[in-house]
Amino acid sequence: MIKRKWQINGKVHNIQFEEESRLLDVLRDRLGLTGTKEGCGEGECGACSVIIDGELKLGCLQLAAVLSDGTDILTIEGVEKTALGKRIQKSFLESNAVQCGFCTPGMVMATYYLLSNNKNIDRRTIKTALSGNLCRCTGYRSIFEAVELASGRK
Amino acid sequence: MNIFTPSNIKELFEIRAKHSNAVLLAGGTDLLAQWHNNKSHPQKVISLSGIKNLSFVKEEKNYVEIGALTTHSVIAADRTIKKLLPVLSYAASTIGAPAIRNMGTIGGNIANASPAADLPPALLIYDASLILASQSGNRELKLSEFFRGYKLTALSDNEFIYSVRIPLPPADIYSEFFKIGTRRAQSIAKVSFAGLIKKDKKGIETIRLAAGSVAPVPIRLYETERFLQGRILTRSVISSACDIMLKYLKPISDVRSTEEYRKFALKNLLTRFLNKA
Repeated sequence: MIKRKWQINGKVHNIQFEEESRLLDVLRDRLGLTGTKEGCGEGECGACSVIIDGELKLGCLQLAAVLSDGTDILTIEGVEKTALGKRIQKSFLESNAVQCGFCTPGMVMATYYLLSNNKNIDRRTIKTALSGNLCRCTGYRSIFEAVELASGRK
Repeated sequence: MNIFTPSNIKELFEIRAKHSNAVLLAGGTDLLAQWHNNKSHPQKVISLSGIKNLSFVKEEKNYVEIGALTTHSVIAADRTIKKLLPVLSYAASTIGAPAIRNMGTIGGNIANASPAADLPPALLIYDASLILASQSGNRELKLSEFFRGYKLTALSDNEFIYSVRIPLPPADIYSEFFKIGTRRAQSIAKVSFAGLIKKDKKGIETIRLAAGSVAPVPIRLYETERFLQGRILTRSVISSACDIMLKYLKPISDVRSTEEYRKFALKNLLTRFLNKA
């Protein structure tokens, strides 16, 4: 068993997990943070996107044990409580950007990462920022519109 | 699984000496996907990500040195690389998508030795070499000599890739990287191509060509380079260059593409490159 002390969504957590656990498993199974989804499990779909020490990463490709004590992790449950997160949530609702909803947490994480690091937002930067996120309902246009709305461009 | 997390190079060597069969883990974007797909993982893993100072971009007089743990995001955004090694910068920007680029590293991309890896063709045309570190010291090995066969490399049990050293290319060159995949983001190349050319009045002075996903390893197209050296580019020279290139290539058919498609596409990429040069 591995023991780690991480800051997750602003709160310090002492956790234990198996050596082979992925961050995705720790978040979902140990901490009950089930907003982070497992889609493909191999880095193709973006449903497990989280922000680790300020960088967008994939929970399914992140071995948990290599994240040292003090690592800062932000998941969809934490984003929901921020002002930007609330704005994105509202924009997704207003743009009808959610169909089945499975990809939505990942899409929101990628959007949050884009909008918190980038000032010059256009359709191209949005498409690049969300290029790692698949929506099987293929609602991409309304998702792009939601991101534009959240960015204040529309 | 036993996971070791050394925090410096000395510790890494000690662990490596005791556990020579341990697998080295960098960003994890290739290995964790493989473990997931195979439903198995190695017994022993050494994570490099806790070792400080393995992520850097240094501009020296004659070369640029990039630390093995430097991520694709950093390589794609770095100003020095963009200016001096534009093909490498662009190749890094085509890997996966933002989250993958924030995780994957140049050292991992090379060590994984996938024939479809995106950085090797770019690095091959820049004549890059690797600094391989071990307890007994460092050695420099040309990247073209590092790949030994499908997923096989020249890395010994006691070594790790410390950095990539890229000599500055000659001035006034034309260079390009092309990648063909199913879609722009996240795709693993069906075919990739990198080329660097310098022409003078007498013809081609310098030419370096490389390709990915058309052989068991990323390769330099030496025979084609030799044929083109010193020639003036005409339609018939370009057509002969394509014939020579295909004579020496045996791409396979697999889930991503067919042998025929790969040959056809690579021929078009070489033609496009030479026409634009």
